[in-house]
Order: sequence, then structure tokens, then C-alpha cells
Amino acid sequence: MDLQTRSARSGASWMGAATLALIATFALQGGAAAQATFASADGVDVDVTYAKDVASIIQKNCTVCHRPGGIGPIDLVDYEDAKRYARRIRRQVANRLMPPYYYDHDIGIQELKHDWRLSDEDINTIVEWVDQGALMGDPDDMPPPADLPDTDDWALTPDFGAPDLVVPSSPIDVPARGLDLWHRPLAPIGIDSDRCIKALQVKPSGDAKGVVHHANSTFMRMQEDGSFVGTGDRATEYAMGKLGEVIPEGVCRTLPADAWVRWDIHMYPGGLGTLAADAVIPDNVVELGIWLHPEDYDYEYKQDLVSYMFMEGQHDMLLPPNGFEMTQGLRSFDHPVRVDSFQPHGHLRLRAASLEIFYPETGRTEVISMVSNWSAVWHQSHIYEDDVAPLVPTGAVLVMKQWFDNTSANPNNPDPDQWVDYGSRTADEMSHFWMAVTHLDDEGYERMVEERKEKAKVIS
Amino acid sequence: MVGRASLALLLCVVVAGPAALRAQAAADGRLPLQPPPPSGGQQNVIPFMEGWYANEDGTYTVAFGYLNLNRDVTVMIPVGDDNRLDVAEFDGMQPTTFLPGRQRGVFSVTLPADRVDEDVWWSLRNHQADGEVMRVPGRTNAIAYELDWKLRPQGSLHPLVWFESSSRQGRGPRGIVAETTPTTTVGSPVVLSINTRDPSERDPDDYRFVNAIPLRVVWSRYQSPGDVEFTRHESNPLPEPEVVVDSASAAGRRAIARNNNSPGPQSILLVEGHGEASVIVTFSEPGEYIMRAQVDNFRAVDSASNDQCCWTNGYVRVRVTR
Repeated sequence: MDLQTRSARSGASWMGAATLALIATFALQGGAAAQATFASADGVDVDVTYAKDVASIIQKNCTVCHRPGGIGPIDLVDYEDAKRYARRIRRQVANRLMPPYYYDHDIGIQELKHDWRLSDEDINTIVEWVDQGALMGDPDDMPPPADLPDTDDWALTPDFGAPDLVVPSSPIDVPARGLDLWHRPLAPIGIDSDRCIKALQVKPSGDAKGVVHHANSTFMRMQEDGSFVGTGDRATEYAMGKLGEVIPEGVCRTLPADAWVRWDIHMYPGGLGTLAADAVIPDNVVELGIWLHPEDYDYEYKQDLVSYMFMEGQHDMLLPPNGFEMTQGLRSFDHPVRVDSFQPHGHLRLRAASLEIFYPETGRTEVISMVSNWSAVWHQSHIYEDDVAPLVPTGAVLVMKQWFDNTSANPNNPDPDQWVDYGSRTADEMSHFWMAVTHLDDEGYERMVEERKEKAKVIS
Repeated sequence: MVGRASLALLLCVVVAGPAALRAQAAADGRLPLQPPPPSGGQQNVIPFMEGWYANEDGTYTVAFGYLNLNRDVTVMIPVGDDNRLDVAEFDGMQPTTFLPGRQRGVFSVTLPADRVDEDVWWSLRNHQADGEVMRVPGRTNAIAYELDWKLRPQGSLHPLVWFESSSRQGRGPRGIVAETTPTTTVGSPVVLSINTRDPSERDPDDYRFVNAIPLRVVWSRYQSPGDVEFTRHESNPLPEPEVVVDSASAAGRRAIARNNNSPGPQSILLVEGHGEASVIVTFSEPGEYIMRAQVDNFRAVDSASNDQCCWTNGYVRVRVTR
């Protein structure tokens, strides 16, 4: 009612479209919460078994990593595996540590693409199963074996097929110990006309999975004298654990003609864990998979991926020993935009991040996304569903906050007695957000706002 | 329901925002969003441990740097209670002249193998600031802070440096100290020189390495009882202004910026990646000085200050009398 009144008074142009996204989100969440409560209440009297209730959850959400050749430290393939690790599974899922997709479930936009989080219902089922003794149940209730992709396959293949282009970095040997490495080779792509990108994924191959902290890929073009200059377009950013990027329908992220990829791959030897100090992992390669739209693809707006820094610039950040710091970045545009994805970036001391929108005309602020338990090991690009991606009117301010913990309470902290400032190493810090932004015009913005208002009416 | 959700979100921001801000005072006492005060040397100097090296002979080298929060003021803190390493045998080689901003890896201490677990604390107090002691431990227990001497991905290595009077060479932040001590008088210029060579192993098929990567040598005062004036040496002429073909292009703008920011006399570019770098120095006060030359190959794609590689320190003691 409150929103409808304001809208009638002064039109939709000032109204937080992000609010409309949240309306839809909370309306849908109501159902999910009710289901979870129902399952929890019933669980006391109903036997929960692996075969009937749990196997399908584990197959769908865990086994893809927890299997021979997967990146998980334990296997969760069959009942014996699940029974052996039952208490650990309970602890991990009840605390929302696994699956490793860290994004607050009780504030901000909840409709995300490629969201790995378990539903409340699934969490309650697993907890109840463990509390009842982790029983197998009737084998006839078992679901069919999961059809899992190969561990080295592209994760986006089920959605888009094989990538149209694969651009590998040159191989590099990574020692098990020592200073971080920044590998910056150039690689040709082989496309002679501008194209629009549908999706991207960066995939460390083989043992590189454990050592690649991040890999930025930027488009360059060769000059007549053999030198290279940037085209101004960024392909994508990868950080440990990130799935990939999917560009929404109707917009274009450009792959320029005759472009090369300039890799910037940060390798962290400490990621190799328990290997001997003089061990070397040879021939690490990182690949960029690019899915393209057809050449005659029709689009309305351009999208780009940009690193947005905090207010004074991340080079000014300073964390005292055994202390905390908060950074805040502000950004507004002289045209309306849609924020398609949000990905905080930091290192070992970053603990939390939020994205808000401040509307100067009303003084309102909305929390769009919040990550309260950020992990340097699992970077995710949180891709908003098309119908809820925040629409930001001209002049509204994106407020980007990050919280850093340099105390011993931070389990990732290598040494809380150190001063920490900006730097490329994992032991140093960074503070920025990667955001994919579609650049709109007034007409497109107002049309999208109207479409969402209509949808919100239907939902309510 | 909609109204409650929106209200809840608004309340979260109203309640959490200021509380978070109050809890996050910066190291110099400022709140995060508070603008920095006018700088006049009243800000602190923060000591940093950059990391540690496991040396081939079993010893460990810990590298230190600093951040002078004063944006445009050099701060002087003599060795003593306000500038000390708490393991006495290492005390004395730290800087007393703190240039503005972040200066990485300006000195190091080397621990014998049997003392690898020992902490070496560096404490600094700038009396012009709030008088609080800023300190940091040099230690070797965290793998995340390990540095090394290995080849970087595109072949960069720490430059080799030596002084004419010595056959020894230095490499990395540990660097080398000249064995001879030039003597001069107040106001009488003296020439300081350092030799260097880039041992990096780069791929000749990569267009970026068709030409040699220049080495940059920057002289600065490191321990100085008085002011120091640098004068351009004849071997380091002022670069000719670049011809700007198209001032609107990116390349043109970069050329204009370079023309407007010519390096000072204490900054020497060795375009062939080796050679001797000289500067003329005049001292304002008598006393014992240490001058530092930082030699870097930061023009290579895999070498940068905030990557912690690759540069080497050379130190020259100068005795100045009346």
C-alpha cells in the first residue's frame, strides 16, 4: 500500500525498482519458509531414510565435487560414504557452510541463477536423518544413479553445450611453496568480427584448480608494429570456486574482432596444501570458455563487467593488527542501469560484504545483497534472475560495503599481528566488487519498471 | 507483508550502518568516511613486515617496509627509543628518514637457522602525531608471507647490484652495503654510483621482450641528520620531450603525462637493462648518512612493488663534516 501510494503521487521514475524485485522475492519466499516449517514439524514422527529422502539431495548437491577426481576432500557417492561422514555433513549443512555458496538467505534479493544453496526443507531433512541415526531405509526407494558430468567438463555445458571458443593460457610450473605468482601471457582468440557473448567460464585444468586464486581476462588488439593495446573490454574475472558468467538475454557483452586475451592469473603456491616444499606442479593451464550468440543476434543494450572500488580507492586501505576495517564505495550513473550480478572481492581478512542502493530523492536505502560469511576460497558471481535484477534509476547511488577482520577470530587470518594494506598477494588485501551492469536508457528503464509492477500485482 | 519487508530492510540499514562505522575507526583514529586532516607531518608512520625468505644457507631473511601516512611530508625518526628493533644486534640499520607513502622492502634482517622461531619487532613513534607506538613483528611462521628468489612467470628476477669498490653483489631487499665510506663536507657535492645488471630470463619470442626491459634506479636518503639535495649527473640527462602526434589519443595523453612528469635527478633509467647509475648529492648538515639506491625492473609485466618482486637495495654510508 505504501509503495502504491508513492507511485501514484509521482510516477515510477524515482521509485526503487530494486524494491519491486524484493517484493517478488519476499512473496515467493513465503512459500519456501512454510514448506521448511512443515517438514521440520513432521520430521519427529516420520522416519527419514537415506534411500527415500537423502540420497537425492546428496546426489544433486554434493556428489559433483565429492567423488573420485572431484575437488572435495571426501567422497559422498553412496550410503556408506554418507553414513561415515553423517555428523560432519549435518554440521556443514546446518551451518550453511556446504554447499559453498555464501549469500545471506534472509535479506535482499534471493532469486539467483546457479544458486547452490540448499532449501530449508533439504537442510531439515538431512539434520533429521542424522539425528534419527542415519538409516539406509529400503533400497528400493533409492533414486537412479546421478548422471554427473566429468570433473573436467565445462560446468555450463548442460545449459549451453560445448563452448564456441576455448582460449588457453600458456602452461606454467607452480612450486608448492614461495611467493605468489602472477602469470600474464597473451593468447589469440581467432574471431574476425565483433560478436556478442552469451556466457563465459574460466576453468583451471587439472592441478591448477588448487593454486589459481584468480584469473582476469582482458581483450587486447595487436597493432601494426606488433605491440598490443587494450580494447577497453574485459572478458571476465575468475576467482577460486567461481562458476562463470551468464549474460542476460537481450543484452550484449562484446567480444571485439581480432581480439587477443591478456591473462592475469594469480597463482597461490600455498594452495597446494601438504605437498613437500620442493615439489612442483608442472604445466598448469587456465582455459577461458566463451559461448557466443549468433552473428545476427538482436540486442537492445550493452553490458560490461567492471571492478568498482571503495571510496578512497583500495590503495588507501589499512588494517591495524588485531583490528577491523570497513570500506565503503559509492557509485552512481548518469543513465539508468540494471545490475545483473554482484561479486565481492577480497583476500584472507575479508569477512562480509553488502550491496545497497540509496535513492537521493527519497532518502531510502535498500539492501540488495548481503554476504555475512564471505570466504576467500569460494568466490561466486551472484547472478540475479532476470525479473529481479536491480533496476537503478539515474542518480541513485550504489553503496558497496566490505568488512575486514584482522583478529585471531578470523580462521583464515595468517597472522593477526601484521599491519595489512592493499597488495596483490593473498596475504595482502583488496576491496572491490565485480559487477556486470547493463546500461539502459530512460525508455527501457521505465518499460522494465512497468513490467515488474504488473508482475508484482499478479503475485500479490 | 510487503510493507513489513521494506521496513525491515530500512531498519537494518539504519541500525547497522552507524554502529558499524563507529566500530571501525582507522589506524590513525579517523572514522572510515572521515576525510584525512591536512598533512603537516602529524600522521603516523606504520611499520610493515613484507615477508620472509628461506635462504639457501639455512638462514632466514625478513623484509620490512613502511607506510608514512603523511601524503607529502618526509618524517624523521632517529634510531633510539622511537625507532628500534628489539633484537639489539639487528638495531641500527633501519631507516630514519621516512618518505611519504608506502615504501616496500626498504631493509631486512637475517636470522640464523637456529633462531628461525624468533620474532623481531620493529617499533616506531612519530612525536608529531599522537605519540602512539606503531609496531610489527618480523617472523617466519606464516606460509602466506613467504617470499622467494625464484624466476617469476615471465622471467623476472631481482636485479644484481654492486659497487665499484667491491666484488660482492647484492640481490633483493637484503641488498648490499658499500664497503667504502665517501667523505665530504657540508655543501660540497659528491657523486654516488651503483652498478647493476638484470639477470631476468625472458622469452625472446614474446613481443614485450624484444627490447631490453629498462632498469630504474632511485636514490633516496635513508638515514640522514640533515637535508639532502640531488643534482642531475651528466650520465643522466633530462629526457627529450616526446613528440605528441595526437593529443586526444590515449598514447598522446600518456606522452603528455610523461613530458609533464620528468623524473628527478635521483631517478635514473638504464634502458639497456644494465649499467652504472650516478647522482650528485649535497648535504646540509654534518653527520653520518646512509643513502639508499632502489634498483627495480618494474617495467616488466611480472614485476611490481605490490607483487613484492623485483627490486634490490644498495646502501652507501657517507660521512659529512663541516
